[in-house]
Amino acid sequence: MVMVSFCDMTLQDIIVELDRFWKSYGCILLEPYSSEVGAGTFNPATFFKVLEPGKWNVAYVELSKRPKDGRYAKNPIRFQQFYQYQVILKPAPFNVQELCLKSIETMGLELKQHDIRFVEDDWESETLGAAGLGWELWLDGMEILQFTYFQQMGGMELKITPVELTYGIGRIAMVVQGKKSFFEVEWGNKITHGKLYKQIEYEFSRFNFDEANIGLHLELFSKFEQEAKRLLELGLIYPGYDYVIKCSHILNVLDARRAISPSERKSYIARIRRLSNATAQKYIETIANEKDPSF
Amino acid sequence: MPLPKSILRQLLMKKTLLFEIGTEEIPASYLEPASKQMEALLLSSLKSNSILHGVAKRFYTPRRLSVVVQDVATTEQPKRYEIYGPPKEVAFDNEGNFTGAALGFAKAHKVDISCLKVKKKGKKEVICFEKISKGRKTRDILKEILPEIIKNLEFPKSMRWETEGIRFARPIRWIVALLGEEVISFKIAGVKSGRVTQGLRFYPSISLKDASTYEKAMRKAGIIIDPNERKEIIKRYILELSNKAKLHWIEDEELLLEVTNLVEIPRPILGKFDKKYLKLPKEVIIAALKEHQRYFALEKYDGKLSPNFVAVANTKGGNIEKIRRNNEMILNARLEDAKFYFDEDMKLSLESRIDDLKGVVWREELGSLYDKTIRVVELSKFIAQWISKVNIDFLVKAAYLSKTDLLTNMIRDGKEFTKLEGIIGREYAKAAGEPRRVCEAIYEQYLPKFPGDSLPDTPEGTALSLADRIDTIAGNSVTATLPTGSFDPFGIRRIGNGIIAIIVAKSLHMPLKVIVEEAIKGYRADKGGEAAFSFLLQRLRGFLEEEGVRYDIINSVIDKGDDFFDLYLRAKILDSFKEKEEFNRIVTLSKRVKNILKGVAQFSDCKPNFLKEEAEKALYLKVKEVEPNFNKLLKQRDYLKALEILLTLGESIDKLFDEVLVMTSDEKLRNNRLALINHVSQLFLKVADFSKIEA
Repeated sequence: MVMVSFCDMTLQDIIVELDRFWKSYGCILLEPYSSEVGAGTFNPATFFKVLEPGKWNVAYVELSKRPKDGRYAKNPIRFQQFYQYQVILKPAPFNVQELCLKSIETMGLELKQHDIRFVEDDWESETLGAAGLGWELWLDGMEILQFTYFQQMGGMELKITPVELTYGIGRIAMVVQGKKSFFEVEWGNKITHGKLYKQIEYEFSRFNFDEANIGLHLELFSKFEQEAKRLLELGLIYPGYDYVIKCSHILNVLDARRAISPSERKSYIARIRRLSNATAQKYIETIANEKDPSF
Repeated sequence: MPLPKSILRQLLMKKTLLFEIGTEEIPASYLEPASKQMEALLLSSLKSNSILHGVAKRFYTPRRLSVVVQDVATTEQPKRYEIYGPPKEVAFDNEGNFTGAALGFAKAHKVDISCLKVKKKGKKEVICFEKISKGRKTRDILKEILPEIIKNLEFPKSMRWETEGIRFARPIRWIVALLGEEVISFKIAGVKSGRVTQGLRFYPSISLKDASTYEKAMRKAGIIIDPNERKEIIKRYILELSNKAKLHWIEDEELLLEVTNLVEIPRPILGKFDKKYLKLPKEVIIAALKEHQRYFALEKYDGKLSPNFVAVANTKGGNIEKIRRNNEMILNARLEDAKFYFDEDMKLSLESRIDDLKGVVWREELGSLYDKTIRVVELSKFIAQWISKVNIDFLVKAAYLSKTDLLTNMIRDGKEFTKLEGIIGREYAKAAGEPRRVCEAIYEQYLPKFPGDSLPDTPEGTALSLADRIDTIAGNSVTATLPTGSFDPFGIRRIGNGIIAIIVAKSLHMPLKVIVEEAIKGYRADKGGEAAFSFLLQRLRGFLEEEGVRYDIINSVIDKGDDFFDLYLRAKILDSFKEKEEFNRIVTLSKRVKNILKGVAQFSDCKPNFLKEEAEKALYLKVKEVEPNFNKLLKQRDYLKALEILLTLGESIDKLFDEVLVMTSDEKLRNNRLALINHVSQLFLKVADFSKIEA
């Protein structure tokens, strides 16, 4: 393995190092999903695969879109879209914390030199009907990774406990490169994240907060919801789930746009949750009838 | 029978017991209760297994829960028990000598016949001898006990992580179980117990030769396993750093305890955030420091917030300079976020948000926050009648704005800032130039938050806090959701306790029955007033009990109207009076008077011209003499003086009972005497129902 020197560690190097680390552990390396998602957890490679009874180790980069977190490109660490590096290990290995820390050291960080803490943060996705116990991993007070032992997905109790590691690769890059803003982080070839994404960040903030067509999105939500129901009833689980994801993103846009009241938001979330629970249920019924549930 | 030497020798053998459960980081707030449980479970198991032991100590850090017990006996206490043989009549012959049956019994059990005794067993007498069991080895017993302790520890939330299905706060990764030098070996959740513990992450693990070396070994590794010591060290560090910087630490015990439980090796760091964020409300900055970063806030000697803060890192040989830089960077980013919320929120006035409260459900069955706001506006105006110096304009303004901060970005989306309800309202109202008392009242509506918390200071805040609370209780009465058992999901009792605390502290005389009915009307309901009122009476009762007032004294005054402060005064006065001789006298007199009236359905007025005997005439005159003054004192709520007046009736009352036959056959005279006594009884009842006082 070629060790990259400290100052050479660009964001793309970080991704390459993580890929290398987890591939050698035995993960399959997948690519991001095709739909807008709020977290890598929505990717079918997590949502469906943790419901299965067998072993599953996977790593992939996911673009996480959270319309409400936009700051018109003015905040150094908060964005309405950013890349996560997602790892699922099922079952959770005994030395998983150690593996997690080792993977971070591959980026040239000597963790002994830093303040490393696992601070309680139980993760929950109301729309996915997912819940787990775990922590934020703090590096010198900065949350760089979410560490979760899933207990539930799609409202179903999981028989085998998977662990989910979600790296905030941007934050890690800031520490590695000593930058005060994610925009200043070098992605690769002397090109900064800011150069690549600042304008995108600004425009989407404008869209999410000020310009998204409320009427259209309200209509899209109910149409997507209907379509998800119809497809799930037909037993077309993956296409049905795609529309569940779409509903979730539409809700996030409506929420950022302040188009719905807090109480309405709750009922929208409940509607999506019903869909994702139905999806999980259908999926479990299907794999129970199959001999080989793998992809 | 004396203990055999071999058993004695074993009993004298004592060793140190160490039990450490090594885990992935347990949430800070779980540690102290779990540690207490662990110690209690271990000690009670030792006790129930008759294992003698010395002093126990418990320790914890985020990654370990441990208990060390000194001088643990290596075997359980020997048990004495009896082995029974044949009945007495079979065991002895006519001369009282042992028979063959008895000898055979002794031989079979290899005991000397001198050990045989006669004992009653049931109805029969039999021969028997005492046996002393050797006792099981502590080691073997611990093998069973220790895994059970792990299984029985309870946490607010627990998880599964492996196939055995054990539940614990976080995964167990190592277990140390040593009795002296010996490993108590067992396996649970895939972990084998042993003698190896872990130091700080990234440092080598530590093999313990003997349980007694544990504390020393951990200290050598730099880990402060005693939480109290850790807390004191952190406190000292913070004071040192803040003194050096000529700053004052804003003490926060809750945060101190949490930070204590987030580190194994505390290293304090003085950091600084960008001054430009000092424009944000102080509470917002402190919340960002505390809730998200667990930093300690510092202020200048003049009370202004300082841009300096103290972070407590968990590191042994870390690069402090680097750690400080990263901490400062993340804090600036957090504050930038707060600034974003603040700037966005400033674009919309609180006033313009009132209408949006319609979109926020307060309680599913009870309507929106807008509905609540409107009710509270009306109710607080109503309540203001009984609070002096209320500026109604200020009050109405504050009531209208009271819930609007719940719609701001800071509270809705701000995660770590969501606890600032009321504070954000106050600060934004200030920024909008509202009068000071309006701003304060918005904040004070939430006071008191817990027993002993500060109370509203402004008259408007007092009215608003009372109105909001009474409205909530009335609403819950309408939906029949007032708590009865221990289940109180909305914290309604706490809300009720706040009402009592305010009324008492502010000496407020107000007709609560009337106010509660008014609150019920706000819901357009016609039922619920009574239940709400009696719920509040229960809170008053609880409040008085907390203050140590005897329950029978509470009973004697609790139905004397709906002015809670008045009831409170009566109870307190009687309670302060209860040890005195005069108190007993009052109680006796009152009971004497009341007893004779039992079973009488109707009373007429006492007619002076029907009074015949001297004693009754005397009582009548005495009553007439003192009554005006007595009533005046009652009006002034001077219950102590009123009681003194009642005492002056004592002699006349006694005389009447001694000298006059009340229940005479002459109906006219009898009724008139009863009427007189009833009149006297009513005087007593105006202060308290003394018949409820127990002897």
